[in-house]
Parts: sequence; C-alpha cells; structure tokens
Amino acid sequence: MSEDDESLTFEEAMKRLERIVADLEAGNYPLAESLQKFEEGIALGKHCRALLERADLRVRTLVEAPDGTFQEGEALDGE
Amino acid sequence: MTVVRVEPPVFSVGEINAVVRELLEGEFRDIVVRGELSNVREHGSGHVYFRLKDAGAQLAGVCFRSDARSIDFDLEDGVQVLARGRLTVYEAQGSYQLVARSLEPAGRGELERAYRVLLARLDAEGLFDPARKRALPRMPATVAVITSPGGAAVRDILSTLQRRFPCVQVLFVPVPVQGETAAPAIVRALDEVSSRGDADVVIVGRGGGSLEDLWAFNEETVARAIHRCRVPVISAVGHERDVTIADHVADVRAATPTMAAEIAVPAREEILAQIAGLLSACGRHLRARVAHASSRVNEMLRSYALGRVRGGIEQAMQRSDFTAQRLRNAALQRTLALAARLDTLHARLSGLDARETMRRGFTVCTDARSGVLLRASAEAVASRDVHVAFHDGVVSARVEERIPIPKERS
Repeated sequence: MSEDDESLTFEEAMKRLERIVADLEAGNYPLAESLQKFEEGIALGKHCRALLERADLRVRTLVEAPDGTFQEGEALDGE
Repeated sequence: MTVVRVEPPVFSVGEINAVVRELLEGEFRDIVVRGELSNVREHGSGHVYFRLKDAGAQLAGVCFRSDARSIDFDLEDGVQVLARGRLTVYEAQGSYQLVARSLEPAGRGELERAYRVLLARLDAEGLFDPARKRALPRMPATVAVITSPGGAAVRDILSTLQRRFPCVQVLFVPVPVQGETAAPAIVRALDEVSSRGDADVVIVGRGGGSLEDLWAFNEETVARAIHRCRVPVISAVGHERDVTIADHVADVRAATPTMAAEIAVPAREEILAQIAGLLSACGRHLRARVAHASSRVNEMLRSYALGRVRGGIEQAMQRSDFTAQRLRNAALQRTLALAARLDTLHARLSGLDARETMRRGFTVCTDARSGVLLRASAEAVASRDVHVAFHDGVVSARVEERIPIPKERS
C-alpha cells in the first residue's frame, strides 16, 4: 500500500477493498495485476484493522468566539 | 326588654382542633396552590418538606416519598410552582399544611400548550415527513457532536464511539443546552456544522431533564435549523419518555446520547467480521484466477499456433535478417515475460499459503549444504546437517537418528 493509502479513511479503505474483491471475482484484471490487487487488498484489510484498534478517539472542538465565528480548538483526547 | 347574652361556645383545644380539621380537610380535598418554593428539605425518609410563599404569606407543605419520586424537576428555593393536593391539620400542634400529591413548575401548562401548537404546525408544514428523513452513512469519517461540554451526554457519546469505532473523528461543538442562551447557540452550531460540510453525521442533544430543561429542543428555531442542516441529524434528548420537537424533525431519533453514538457508527465486531470475509474472498478469487490462467498458458504452449510461430521464428532466424532478429527478440521476450510472470505468481501465491501453514506449526527441512528440500526421514539421515525453517526463521540442526513410524495395517 502506498503512502497515499495510509491516509485513507476507514470508509474509503473498505470501499476500495470491496471493489477489489468484486473485480477479482469478475476476473477484471490481467494475471499480474490480480496479484497486485490481492496484495493491495491484504494491505487495505490490515489498514482497516489498525484503524479499528486505535487507542484514542480524535476529538476536535469547534468553539464559538464572541464575534460569532467558530474556531477549531485544541484536540482533546477521548475518554 | 331582656338582653339575651349569647354565650360563645366553649371548646377544649382538642375539640376546636378537631372541628377545624374536619372543616379544612373536608373543604380542601383537592386544590392547587401557586407559590414560590422555599426551605426545601428532603428528609432521609424520602419525604420532601417545603414552604410555599408569596409576598405576604407562607404555607407549610410536604410531599411524601411515593409522590416525590415522580417529580421531574429540581425542587429549588425560589422556583414558582403549582402544588396540587389537600390540606391537613396536625391537631397536636394546631397547625395545618398542604400535602402535595404533585408539584410542577408554574408555566408548564403554557409550555405544554406551546409544544402542542408548534408540533401541529410543523407537522402540517411537513417537517416531520418520513419521506424526507435521510439515511445515515454506514461508516462516517467524522461525527459532529453538539451538546454541553459539562454533561454526561458528551462523555457517554465519546466513550461509545471509542468502544465501537475508534477510527471516527469527532468534531465537538460545545453549547449550553438549557436556559435562554441554549436555543440560539444550538442553532448557530447546527448552521456552522452544516456550512463547514466536513461532518458526515451530527448528533445534537443532552441528557434527560424536566420539560423546562429540555425546552431548547422544543423551540421552533432549533427545529428549523435541524430541518435545513445539510448533514443528517441524530437527535438525542433525554430519556425514552421525552419526545421533543427536535426529535420529530431529526432524521433519526435516539432515546439517549449513548444510543445516538451507537446509531452513528457501526460496531467493531461486525466490521472485523466483514473485513475477514472480504480478505478470504480475495484469496479465493485470486487462486481461481491463477488456476485459470495457468491452464490457459499450458494450452497455449501446447497449441499448434504457437508451434507455427516457433517454426516461423526458426525460419526467420535461419534467414538471419533484420526482421528475424526483431521477431525473435520480441517473441522471446514475450514468452519469457509470460513465464516469469506465471512463476512469480505461483511462487508468491504458494509462498503465502506455505507461510500460513507454517504459522500453524509445520516446518520445512532442507539439506544444510545443498539446500535441497528433504521429503523423507531417510533423506534427512543422509544429509546429517539440516536447516529447519519455521515461519519466522531458520534453525540449523544435526540429525542423530531415524525413528521409524510403525506402519499401519492396510
């Protein structure tokens, strides 16, 4: 999986994995690419599992300033 | 003319208190008294004692435990209440008090009327139409949470998200959830989340409370902000019995903040099972693909057509001209590439299988010098020095003895 894939959101990664499985099933890829896709699928699965094992929820706060604008505050740790 | 002096009747204290008791208790069996709470004391027994007062008068009151349990707001000094009950006289003291069966904040009746009127109006306008409820995303990347920073609601929501789906991002917008400032702040927060557009779903709510506490969620402005919010909204106000206007407008109503978080994200176990299913399907399809491809390549290699190409190449090679050279290179390269690709596929796929098998405890034994795979114990004895490969590394070993396995009777 490339650097780019590391930043995939959970849903993006799952969608990509589902797409790969569907394409593999349909035999859409040439042989060598099938293997690449297979490996990409394994990596995506790992990525998703890792995301599900996260220890800390990422929490951003959005606070209203006295002038009525909202500003993003410090990230809080989940409880 | 005789003046008849009518002597007033003479009562004993007990007698007059008994008469007063009969009069008051008979006359005031079901009354409502409006007044301001003061001196509220909750007794250890669960009975609540208080005084009702207004500008110039006071009345003692009590609410017994069985009735006090159903009071749904905070009994605080200074709150205007309607106390419904009966008067009783305590003969031993010559005092009387109000025994309240129910207490509710003054103005609640108006709130309830306002609630019903607004509910009917917004319903007629179509704000609660089930057809316009939006589906929630199955796996949101970002959940916005609009609630009080101090309440249990935000803690419940965050801990539920953490437990079920920790890869979700939370955009927390702290707002007051009761009092005059609550509704405008909730409206601005909803509008902000809607216009930012970086949340996939928004939870708006608070923990349970009295009708007065929850009032912001019955305000028309909040209902309309939920209605125009471009992000699907889950309402999470109080407990099961409190259905607010916000609940009616929201795309999904959750009975509690915890349930809102459960609705917003999938459960970890479900998702893990789904991933496992997808990965095993990946492997299955790839194996089928490789099996199919290798049988096709074998067919091609055997085929007459390839034989003719080969013959052509040989003839061309014999002519040894430029075209032949090019043809040979091209054909050779194509064949080599195909073979290499197939070898790689087989090796990598079977390698994957072997690693999985070895992880379960199987090992592979090779001759230490030649690296030849040992398939039988006799070969191992012949080698003496062997390498034993585990899934995570290789150990070297010396074979001392062959212990034959007794043959099974056939």
